Amino acid sequence: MHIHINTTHSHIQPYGVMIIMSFLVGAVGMYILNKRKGVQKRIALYMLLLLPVMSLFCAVMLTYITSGGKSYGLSSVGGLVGVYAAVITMGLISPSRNDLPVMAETATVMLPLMYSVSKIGCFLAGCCHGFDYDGIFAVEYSGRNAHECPAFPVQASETLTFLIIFLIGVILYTKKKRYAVQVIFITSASAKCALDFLRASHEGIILSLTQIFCIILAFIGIVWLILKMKKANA
Amino acid sequence: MIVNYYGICGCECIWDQKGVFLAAPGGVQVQSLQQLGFYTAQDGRWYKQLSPQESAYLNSMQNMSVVDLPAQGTSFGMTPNITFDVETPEDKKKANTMCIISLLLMFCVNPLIVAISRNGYENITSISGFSGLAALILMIYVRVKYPKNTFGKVLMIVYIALFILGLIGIILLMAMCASCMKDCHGF
Repeated sequence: MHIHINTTHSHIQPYGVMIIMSFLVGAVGMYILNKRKGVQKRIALYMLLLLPVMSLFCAVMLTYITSGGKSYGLSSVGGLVGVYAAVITMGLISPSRNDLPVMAETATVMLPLMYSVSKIGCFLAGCCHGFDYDGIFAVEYSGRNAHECPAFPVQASETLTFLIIFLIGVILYTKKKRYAVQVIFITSASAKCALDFLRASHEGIILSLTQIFCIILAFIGIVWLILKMKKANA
Repeated sequence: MIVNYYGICGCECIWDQKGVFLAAPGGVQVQSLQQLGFYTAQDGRWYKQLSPQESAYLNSMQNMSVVDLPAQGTSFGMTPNITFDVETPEDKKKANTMCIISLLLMFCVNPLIVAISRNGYENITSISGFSGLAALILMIYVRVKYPKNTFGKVLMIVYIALFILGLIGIILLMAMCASCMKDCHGF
């Protein structure tokens, strides 16, 4: 069974719409969680304003820097860096010292959902596609971003994987499991790193730049988990 | 007794012959303490003598371990010496200066960098984004630290309007590009 997608869209580009949707979902979700966790309403509102701008800026900048200043594009890792940059900025501005760790936690919980939604855009636009594959659920792209061979539905796999991570993460977080946030962080970085092997762009290389970033992030997550464990034991 | 005084949590309440005093906990921003009328003593701690109304209220709550002042939803006829919401001339000056810097970064530095980059210095285009971002952060800083500043409020409304217009612009541009590409399909 193959999935056929026409990448020529009449007026509304699904990629752009899904990117906007992912920022909207992430920012609103963070606002709700921040409010529930006791962050001041005005701080949560300003976060709502800063988060999309900073995330988008870092997403574009990372592609610009890694391409040696030759091209612009949206990088998911850059977007992630932007989200945490916005969290740190708002945490430093906020008069309450507790806001920074709370906002860092809520951002970690919401990021898998943001990524999941944005990947629907990639799936419909035909970018970031998977390796050549002719099995079940193979995707045939026609139109503007047509591919000669059917591809593995890596974007759909990413959407599904990160949606599951988000749902499990929210359950763990709302049940106040001690290491929920750190587990979400490490799982997200590992999943992103593993799924990158399935991309067509990965052919011929051992580790992509995204995977190197993900390994670094997973390492940071493990350090974060160890520190929290030590703190809990102390 | 612990008193949460206008958002400063964990103030220690001290009954003295001269009156009732609050000692602020460590780590609270100096500016917030000054705005609420706290002063530093020789021991380095921040103190504030409470008004008779505030003292009377705390006396009536002596059996409580933690007291919010002012109590939520009630005023008890108190007219606390609220300096927290009042903008001092110094604050106004600082806030206005930051707002002007923010405005310059957004509407002068930003277009200037774009104009320079179009004249052969393409590598500096990215800096325009930095200046815009710095302008936004500065505006948020002013709104959080000096919430009563009118310039800050106006700046916030302007930036939000720009943000919404930018979003609409992007959507329209996307639709326009898609339409153009569709029209040019056969060429």
